[in-house]
Amino acid sequence: MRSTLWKGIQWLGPPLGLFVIVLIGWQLATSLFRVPAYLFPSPWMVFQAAQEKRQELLQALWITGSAASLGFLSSLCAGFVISLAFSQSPLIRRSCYPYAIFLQTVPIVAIAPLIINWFGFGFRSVVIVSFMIGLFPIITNTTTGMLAVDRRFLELFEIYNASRWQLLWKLRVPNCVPFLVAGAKTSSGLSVIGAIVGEFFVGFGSDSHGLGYYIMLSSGQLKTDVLFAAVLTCTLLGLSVFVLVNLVSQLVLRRWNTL
Amino acid sequence: MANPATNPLVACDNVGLTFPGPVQALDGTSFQLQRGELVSVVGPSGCGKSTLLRLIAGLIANTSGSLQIAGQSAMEARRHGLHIGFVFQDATLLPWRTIQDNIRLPLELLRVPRSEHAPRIREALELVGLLDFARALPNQLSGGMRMRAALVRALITRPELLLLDEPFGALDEITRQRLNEDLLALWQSQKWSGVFITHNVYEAVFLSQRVLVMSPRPGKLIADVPIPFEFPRTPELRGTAEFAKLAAEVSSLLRRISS
Repeated sequence: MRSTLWKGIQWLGPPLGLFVIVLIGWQLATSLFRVPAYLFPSPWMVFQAAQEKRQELLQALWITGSAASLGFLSSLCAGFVISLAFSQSPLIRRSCYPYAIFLQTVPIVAIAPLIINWFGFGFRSVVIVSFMIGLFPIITNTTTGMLAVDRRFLELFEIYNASRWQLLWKLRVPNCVPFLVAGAKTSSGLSVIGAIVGEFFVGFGSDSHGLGYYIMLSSGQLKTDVLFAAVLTCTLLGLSVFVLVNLVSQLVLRRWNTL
Repeated sequence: MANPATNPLVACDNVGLTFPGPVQALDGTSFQLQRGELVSVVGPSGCGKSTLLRLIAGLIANTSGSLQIAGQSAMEARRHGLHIGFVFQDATLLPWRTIQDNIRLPLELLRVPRSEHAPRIREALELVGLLDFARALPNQLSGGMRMRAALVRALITRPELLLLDEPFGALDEITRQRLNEDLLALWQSQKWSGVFITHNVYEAVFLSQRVLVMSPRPGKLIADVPIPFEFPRTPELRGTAEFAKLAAEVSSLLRRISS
């Protein structure tokens, strides 16, 4: 019991210590040099703004969190299905891969007008941006996992005249799980970024006043303390998604740890 | 037509394999495996022993000569219901499946009715003393236990032909000897025909009725040494002068080809 506590302190101590030091330095610097609050608010002001706007920020956190989760889950499902197709034929892979790369490399700003044209401003469009940004890592990782099957496993299945279907569901799909999990880790983070960035560009519907919207709004109004509070809330969202996905991945990978 | 009972199960006539390149992997290999016979193939590493085994399994096709199993090509024989068991160099168990589900795999792939699975798996596990480890994952078992599981996985379809590709090469000497004895007991009670690849001369002499010696680059059979010891063979056989004499004979053949 004591030793786990000690371990916890050893783990959390250094980053927490640094956090406190930075906080104090920041507070001192802003009050010593009289930095204007619209340029760089002190931590105390950020804290006060967060307290004052707690209701709105929590609401925004919920909206952005939902958009990111929906975007992430749909990229997980779609990415998996696309990888199933990719694993079945080199022709499909070769024909579709350039478009998957297009999806990865095209700046969201460039297609934001298109998304707005098709789906309007609002929550739905934010989910679509989050989905598009999260999709690519799932496709590449999962496809790799389905193809990176040990040759001897393929021979084993061949010995028993396994059908393409059996090969897919009993070998390729289970084999790709660790890769899928790795892809999901990357993709979950990207989906959060996608949702926030999406809110910058397409999130002006009344149903999508998420964190991204808040950041834009408070930046325009020079309410830098609110802006900081919103950014911190984004970090909180990203952090909780990271922790959640890592927990799930550890549960799933327990069975795959010999690979 | 000759009587199928006296027909050899495997008949290799001048079998050769040249990979594009060209790399000659196997050159004019001829031998016959009678039904119920257990034969070892020894040779230095890289001499094409594994290639020969994969040809018999119908995993690759020969480029010259004729290879017939029960009067058909290897691939046809397998597709037409000749049951083959293949034991790989290491256990090649699917890491995400428990031991019993690994042993179940061939039954699933061959679509054996579900109701037959449980008793057959139980019997198989009992045979090699793994009943208590039915629900363990492969990485929780020792190398010897994993290999036992791989052995009964290959035997669960009641194969007519068992192909073993240096299965015990990575095990320590005591475990290897014990598994040799287990393998012989299984062979005597189940009466399959077997081809056993190894580079261990003692193992080859102990296990088989004939030892085929292969030379490297390109692989070619250069000697066929009969091993006249009676069955059942006991561990004490390893200490006898006749055993040492035969092992020395095979060793000197091997030394001659590698110099």
